Amino acid sequence: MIGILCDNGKVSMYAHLLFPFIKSFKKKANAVVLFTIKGIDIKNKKVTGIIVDSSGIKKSIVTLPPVIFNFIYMERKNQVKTFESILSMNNIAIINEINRFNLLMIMQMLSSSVKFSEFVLPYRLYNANALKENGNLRHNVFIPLKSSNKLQALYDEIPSGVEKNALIKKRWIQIKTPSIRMYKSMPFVIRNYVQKGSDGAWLSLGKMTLQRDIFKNTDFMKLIREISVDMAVFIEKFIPGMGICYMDFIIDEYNNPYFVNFGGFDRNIILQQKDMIIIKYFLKNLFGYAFYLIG
Amino acid sequence: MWVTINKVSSLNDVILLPEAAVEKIYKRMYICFGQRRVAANVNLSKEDGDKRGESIDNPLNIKISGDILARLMISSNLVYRLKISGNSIIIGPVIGFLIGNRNYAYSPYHMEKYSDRFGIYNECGGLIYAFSPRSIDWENKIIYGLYYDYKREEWLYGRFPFPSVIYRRDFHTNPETIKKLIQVTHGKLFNSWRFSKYYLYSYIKQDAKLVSSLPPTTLIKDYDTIKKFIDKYGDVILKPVNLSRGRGICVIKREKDNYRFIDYRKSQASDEILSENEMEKLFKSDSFLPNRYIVQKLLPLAKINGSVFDIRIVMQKDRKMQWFESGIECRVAKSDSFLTNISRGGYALSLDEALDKAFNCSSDREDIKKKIHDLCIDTCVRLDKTGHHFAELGIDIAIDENKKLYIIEVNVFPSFKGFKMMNRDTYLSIRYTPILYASYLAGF
Repeated sequence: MIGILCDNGKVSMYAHLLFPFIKSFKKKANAVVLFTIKGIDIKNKKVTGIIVDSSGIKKSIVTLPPVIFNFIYMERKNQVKTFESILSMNNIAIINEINRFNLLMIMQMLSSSVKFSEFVLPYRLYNANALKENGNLRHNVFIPLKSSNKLQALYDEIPSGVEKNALIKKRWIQIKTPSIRMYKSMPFVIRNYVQKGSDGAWLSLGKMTLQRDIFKNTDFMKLIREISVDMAVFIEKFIPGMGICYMDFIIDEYNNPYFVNFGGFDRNIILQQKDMIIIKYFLKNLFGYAFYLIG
Repeated sequence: MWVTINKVSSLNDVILLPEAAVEKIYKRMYICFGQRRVAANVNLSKEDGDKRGESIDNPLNIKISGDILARLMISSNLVYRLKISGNSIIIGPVIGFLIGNRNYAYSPYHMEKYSDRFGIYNECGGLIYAFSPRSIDWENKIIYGLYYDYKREEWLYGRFPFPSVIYRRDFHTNPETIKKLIQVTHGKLFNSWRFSKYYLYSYIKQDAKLVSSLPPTTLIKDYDTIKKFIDKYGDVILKPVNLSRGRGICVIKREKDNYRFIDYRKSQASDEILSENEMEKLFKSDSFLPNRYIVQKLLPLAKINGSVFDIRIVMQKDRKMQWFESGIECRVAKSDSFLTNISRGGYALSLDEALDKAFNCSSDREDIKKKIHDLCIDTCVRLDKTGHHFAELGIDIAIDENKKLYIIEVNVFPSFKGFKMMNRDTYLSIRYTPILYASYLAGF
């Protein structure tokens, strides 16, 4: 059995979403226990949560599973403390210790590699004064410093509805872009999911455009799939313990992709994915990688 | 000699050394960088004329073929030192800072707090990088981390060879990993072990010279241990064996048939009177798990304006591998507190000031200072006998109303906060010393 650590209030929803797939796997070992931080009993090494296996969904208390996939962002101090207690246990592996990354750090990491630097456009930590002094933000994409699964990109100008003050208060990465592909006045963004599979190696799970998919099966999509896997391998050298992540890319007018954002687990892969095959593939890899770790 | 490295693309398997700067060379020699070693053909070059590469500002240019640079993982944007020993050309130093397990937090921004150590870079040069035990690729002998670029004055991500020396700056690393790193560096990992407070007591107690400087101490095994200790000594202080910086401390003072229990375990200290039954109940609960706390006699400490104080001495090893006192500060507790830690509201004073204020005399001040110095040296020398590699210790000494000195704690990972506020030169000197020591261990 593997563990999935979820946000409060999401346990039951995930259980019902995952059940039909887990049922179809038919293997008894393919079971998950979904639980929240509150459900963890560090002292007795137990969790209270919902077990989903091929026979159904039930509430239960079980021993802390040997592999736990973290689906949450973890920001409160007490959450981090509980989490760190599990991390210090030698016989328990936590996959995706964090899911929200400092984008500046990821940009700096990728820029240090000759291979990946060509996919990184000039960037800097956004200085709020630049906005006050220079209203011309043309050819700049702004991405929040702390990534979120719902990409909040700003391009060229402050869109109506976004207060200038709100922009100043938040920390952003400013990325200078060439002329890029647009969709409905916003950069066209391609999100590619990568995940570790049953042999412990990274593989591309599939892409999802954040807008309507208007570029199908193009060469740059293939390049994005390949480079995403290589980037995941590279980033994991510095930040080990990941099993699922995504990268966002924008495309210039010559169809060259550029990296703009990075995150860990994105719940949209389950919640908004219309392609059931991808969810099944995602779960298959989840179990495959867990069994690979358990040996 | 100080050198910069230039890549030669047109040749393979070769190093070009400046003729004027080297005396004896062989046609084929080993080039060593960190724990990497590669054989290369050695040629001489006359390009640098009579330059000797005597300082970081005037380095010689060494040319090395690209294949060798790649195998040694030498970056050409730093200034190194080079020395020839037998048939080896050693380029370095390569020093690693072992930091913690929170890899997601180790950004160039996070590393800026280490940058003030590089005021001494012009004396050591080389590659100095920080790494987490989790970013070691044991199979390929590569470490991923961040290095300091002296010219750009910033930390940059990179991949590096195993270092010659490791300065341990974190104590949450798996002991097995530490063992492997000690092996890899041939024992040149310093601050190799963090001992518990009870280990320190038990170990130092065996030293006839030091035993009288220890306050009566025992490990709490059950309620009876503590009860007997209180019956014997009256007022006691309880300390967690593995925590530092004043965390987890409690004080018990006997007041007729009751006990005053002052609890510093939470950010706001609590102070309550307990009956014997209540105290027994408290110690039979989970709060004081067996073997997790020590109990010590509460010493009648000397006071400054009614507040207790202790003396923090930073002991470090110099380039001759000798212990020396690199900083002394006195930490005065805030009023009504037993905690002297700066992080718990204490403040720092110089030793002279503290002794004057506490004892209102200067006649035996130098004598007390000498005794403190001797006690610290003896403690360090004793700890060296554990077989672990220490090069930086923070020793806390208490002085009672009769000017008797006690060793109350020895920290392998001391904080320098007080020095930073009190004397920036001393603070910087403390920050530089481990780098110079590491450089010395690396052969430079």
